[in-house]
Amino acid sequence: MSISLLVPASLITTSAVAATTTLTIDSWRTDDAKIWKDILIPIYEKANPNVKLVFAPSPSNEYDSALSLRMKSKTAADIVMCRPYGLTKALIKDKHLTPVTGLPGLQNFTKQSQQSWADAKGVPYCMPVASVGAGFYYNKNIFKELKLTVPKTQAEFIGVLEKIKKNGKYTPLVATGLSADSWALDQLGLQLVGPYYWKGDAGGVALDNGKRKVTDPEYVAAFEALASWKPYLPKAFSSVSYSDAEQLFILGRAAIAVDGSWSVKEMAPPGSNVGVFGAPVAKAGDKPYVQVLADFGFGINAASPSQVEAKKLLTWFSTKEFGQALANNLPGFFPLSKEKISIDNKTAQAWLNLRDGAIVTAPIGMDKMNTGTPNWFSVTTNLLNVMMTTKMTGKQAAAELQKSLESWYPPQKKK
Amino acid sequence: MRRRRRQLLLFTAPALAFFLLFAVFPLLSTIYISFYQEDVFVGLQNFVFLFTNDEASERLIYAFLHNCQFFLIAASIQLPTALCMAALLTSGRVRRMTSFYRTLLFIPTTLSVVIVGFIWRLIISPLWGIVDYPLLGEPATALPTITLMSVWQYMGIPMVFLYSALIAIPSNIIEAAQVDGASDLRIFFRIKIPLIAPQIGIITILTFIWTFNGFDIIYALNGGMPGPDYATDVLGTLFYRTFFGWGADLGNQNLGAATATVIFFIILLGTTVYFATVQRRLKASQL
Repeated sequence: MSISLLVPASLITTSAVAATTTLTIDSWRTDDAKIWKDILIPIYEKANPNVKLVFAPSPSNEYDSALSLRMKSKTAADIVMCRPYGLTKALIKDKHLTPVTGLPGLQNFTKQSQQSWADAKGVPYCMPVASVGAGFYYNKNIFKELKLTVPKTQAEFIGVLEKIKKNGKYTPLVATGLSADSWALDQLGLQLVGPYYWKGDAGGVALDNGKRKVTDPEYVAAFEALASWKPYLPKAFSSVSYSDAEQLFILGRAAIAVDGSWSVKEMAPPGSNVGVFGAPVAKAGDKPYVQVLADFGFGINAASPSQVEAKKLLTWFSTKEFGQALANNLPGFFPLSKEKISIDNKTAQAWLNLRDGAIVTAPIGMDKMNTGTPNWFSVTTNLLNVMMTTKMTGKQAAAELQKSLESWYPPQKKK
Repeated sequence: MRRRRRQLLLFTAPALAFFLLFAVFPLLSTIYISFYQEDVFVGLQNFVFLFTNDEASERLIYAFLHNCQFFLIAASIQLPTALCMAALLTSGRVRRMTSFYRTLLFIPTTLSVVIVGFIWRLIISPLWGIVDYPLLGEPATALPTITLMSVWQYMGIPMVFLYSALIAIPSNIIEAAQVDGASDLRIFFRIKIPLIAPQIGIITILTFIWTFNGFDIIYALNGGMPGPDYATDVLGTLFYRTFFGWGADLGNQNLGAATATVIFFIILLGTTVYFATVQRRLKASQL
């Protein structure tokens, strides 16, 4: 830049101008800034010396409002990290994002992984990048001490919890009970154990189009499966925050913790003896369901002057090279691409292995049923928190949720 | 005379401009946008929705009741305690280090709300702290607990108010009473309290305004959907959630402005009623 200022304009060749293309990337992953800056970005800049990448994240809980304001005032970054559903759908509606249709690399992804960033017609607006999953971490040392085996069915799961409880030395299962963190009971609770009962994505679609109700047996069973944890949770559960729950497990005071793959580094630090298992099934031999949540993708700001370079970068995000680098440097975040990758982190690999032989599914309710008031997410998280901290049963919780949907969601309205 | 008026205007102009720009203008523009919905004039529709929609009106009423509870607990604990502290500091019974105690009692006020919330949450945590009961997790105790944290933090402000009012009482009155043989308790109730009555009134109304604008400690502890089951939801958090959104909710600026307008009128009404009925009679006893 400084050199070009000293040289007469006529001497600047086109390549020198191209050398100054700077792409800014906005993100809510402030924790990962160092990894982007030191590892991921240099890989790309080395192969594309004409591009300079700047990773400029904002804190996660400010990201949504900050980004929509910056989009409105045309000061947003060239590349923005896309949240699944919510904010991204609003940005698409207001034409702030460039469609990524036909971009090479997009064929590496399933339709499933594109739907959280597509408009009503199915046109994709973000390149899917990373997914996360939910499941159970277990302390192998405690399992060995109490001679327990990893449970596969709901009955085995309750049996294991019962044995740990009887022994009395450890909290059998930690989850999040504090209402401020009640998102966890949804994503790391209902959406973890539920898909098996409501048959994955089909169950979500059936609710979306009003063919089934939340009070139907398959959804009630999901609520009841979550409610079955109640006797095994830590004391004073209603005050256990998400980080309290993690601490209890890390300190070895709890045998099993329900958490996300994104916590691999904290929950299974090097030298620990921690394993992972997925949601239990009701009948032995049934195929398990594994939740894969599209966590982030990247989209192009429609107002960015460098559309061509931005598209090139998005294509790189779809490659195996980037996927491999992401999976190894951010353990617990998995590339959404269909390409097979291997991961150095043992526990992160165990998370990925959960998907083998399982039916992959996305959380339900997050799209259409979140567009009105009161939205699915607020109602569900609140109800799950009440259900897990009081005597409310799964059936009652499901009935309340259905009542709330009937109050505004057209396909579910009483005819 | 005319010149004097011009001078007055000149000297108040900066403060007036500041006040108009940062208090009056935002207030009026809030009321203005509360009549719109996505840039279309809708009249009172936002307000009708707030008061008649089942979900919205329930939240609004509960938030209002929680604010009343917040105010009643705060006023009934903060004021007497602050008065006792100020009385003790000015009584002459604390012979040494009066300013040390005064500073000590004022320190929590200078702390960040986030720190206060964090420290108290750890202290009362059943897992790591000293209380074996989920105070913040039970709907019945959650709001009183948060109120007490806030009372603890802001105790210093009414204390300093009352302290300065108490030391302003001329010592000859007290001495005269002592010569007449009045006990300390009698002096306190019959002489000091009547003389600082207007300050007590002002503190009450300030507590009313603070608690009805209350937001920060609840948001710091419980986020934008303050549970359990909305048990700690106040007007401030309701406004935040409506205006900025929370979780999957992206927020609605016009509805949020309507909520803010409702809060403004609640506070305006409360303050007016108070000044019209109580404060006018709370004249300091004539010396």
